[in-house]
Amino acid sequence: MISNLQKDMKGRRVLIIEDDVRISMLMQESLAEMGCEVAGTAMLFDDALELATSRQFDVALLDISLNGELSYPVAEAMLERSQKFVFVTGHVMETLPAPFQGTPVLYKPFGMNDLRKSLRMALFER
Amino acid sequence: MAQLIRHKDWSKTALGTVEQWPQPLRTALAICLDSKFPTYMWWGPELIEFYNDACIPILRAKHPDALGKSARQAWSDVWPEIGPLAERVMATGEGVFAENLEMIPERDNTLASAYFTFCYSPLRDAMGNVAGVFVTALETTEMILSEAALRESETRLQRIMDSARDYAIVSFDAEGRITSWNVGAERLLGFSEREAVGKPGSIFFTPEDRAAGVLEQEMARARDKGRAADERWHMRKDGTRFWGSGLMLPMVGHKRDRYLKIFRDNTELRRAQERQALLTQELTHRVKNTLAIVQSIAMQTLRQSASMEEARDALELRLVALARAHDMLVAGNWSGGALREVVAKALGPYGDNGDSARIRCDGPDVRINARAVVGLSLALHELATNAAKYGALSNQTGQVDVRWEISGGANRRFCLRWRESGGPAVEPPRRRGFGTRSIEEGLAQEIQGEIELDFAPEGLSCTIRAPLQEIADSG
Repeated sequence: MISNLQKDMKGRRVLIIEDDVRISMLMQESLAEMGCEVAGTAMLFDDALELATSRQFDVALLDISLNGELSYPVAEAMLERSQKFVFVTGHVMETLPAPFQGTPVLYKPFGMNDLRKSLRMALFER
Repeated sequence: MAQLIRHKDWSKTALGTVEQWPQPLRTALAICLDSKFPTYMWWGPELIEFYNDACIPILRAKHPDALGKSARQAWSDVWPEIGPLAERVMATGEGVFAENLEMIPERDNTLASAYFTFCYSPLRDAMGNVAGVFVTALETTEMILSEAALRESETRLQRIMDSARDYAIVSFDAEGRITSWNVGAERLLGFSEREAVGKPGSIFFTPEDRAAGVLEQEMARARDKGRAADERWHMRKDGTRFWGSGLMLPMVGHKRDRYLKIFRDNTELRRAQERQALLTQELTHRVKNTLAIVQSIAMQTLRQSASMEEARDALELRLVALARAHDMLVAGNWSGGALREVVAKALGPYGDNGDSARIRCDGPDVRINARAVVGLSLALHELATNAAKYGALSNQTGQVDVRWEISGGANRRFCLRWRESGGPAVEPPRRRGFGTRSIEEGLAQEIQGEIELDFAPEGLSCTIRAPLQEIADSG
């Protein structure tokens, strides 16, 4: 019971880094439904890096490809700050570089449960 | 032969009976008959012929008549070739050696080239004068013909190898050193035959493959499995690379390991395959993104609709708008589309029923990028649907005016204005629905612009502003 409560997503601050605004909007709505707060959104690499190093958040959703640019440096910056994050990708299978192996990956398109599961993995199981 | 000689009647010949023959003739004849090597003797000025058993197969039809005849008669068919040599020995007492001399003897009533290697030595009488010729001869026709055939087959093989100009054909010894190199290999790899033969085969492998011992692995696989596929980047003498495609095979008929490698330049096919793979990956990515957009539209529509019916209608129209945007992208090879077409398609369903004068569109030709095509298509669709339901297109007299322009110098800006008039009095919406959000948040971020929605009582207006570079199709 206690562990379930701990795993609740309510009130968690989530940073959204996603270059497709429609998907970002879907994430925002889904997160709102889960009781999460959106800590900020970024679509472009530079904004993403800026937010990742300045904002307060519990976990981030990080699209691997931002307008064709790989977002791994953003992930590295978050690792350095011990921030938790979930990779988001449109690819069928994603092979992650060594430092990021074990990071949860959310494959597009995703359902609400996939989103919740990946966030929980990032928050509680790493 | 000895018997044949003894029983022959020699009395009518110039030599007289056997008993009358001089000692040197008898001695030489004994040597001749004892020899296992084809040996003839021509004695006296008439050159009376003797020969031993070893000569019989060579003489064929001439045996046994040639015995006791003058060599000039017995060998009349080839005397033009051998006569002068024999006469020279008789005249000078000096031996003659001839190797593979070509003659055309008559055999079985046919004439064909035959080759002989022979030695003519003088025979002397008791006084030391030249009295005859001692002949040792071997027919070499078969050897000569098979050598010629071999040379011909080698030439033919070489021509085949040299004609395979598009294929490199290279052979290796057990240590992987190059043992042969055809014209195709020269053309493909840039090393001449002289440069390549004797060198390690790894000279045309890439440094990575050299370090990994790929050639050795290929040879081992060819040995163990009978063949090894060679599909990899190879390197020319000048360091450029090409995609080699072929096989490594063990060479047949060798006791020690020998290998044969046949391959060609397949770079173009390889590049096409790589392009194909990239395209498939890109397509997958786009399909996934599109599905995510569809999902986003569907979820928000369902969440905000009052009834199933309303949701169904709204969803259908939104998906059709998205599909039309995609049609444009496909037609434009996914790079973008014409803004005028985007506007026309969004308003199309409402301008077709005979009163297109109520809808006015005007602005310069602008090509906009893929993202802007999708964003503007969805936004204009929401505006048009709203106008048809509640706004200027919901009565008989209202008008919609869509104008766009580009202004400014270095940092050019794009501005599109949607203005409704003549419709029922506008009331601000009680809640922000999908349409409003799609425009105010979705589009604004897609084009990095500002959106102004004004629910003025006399008619809704929407102003969309963005830096031109954010929406323009850069090509």
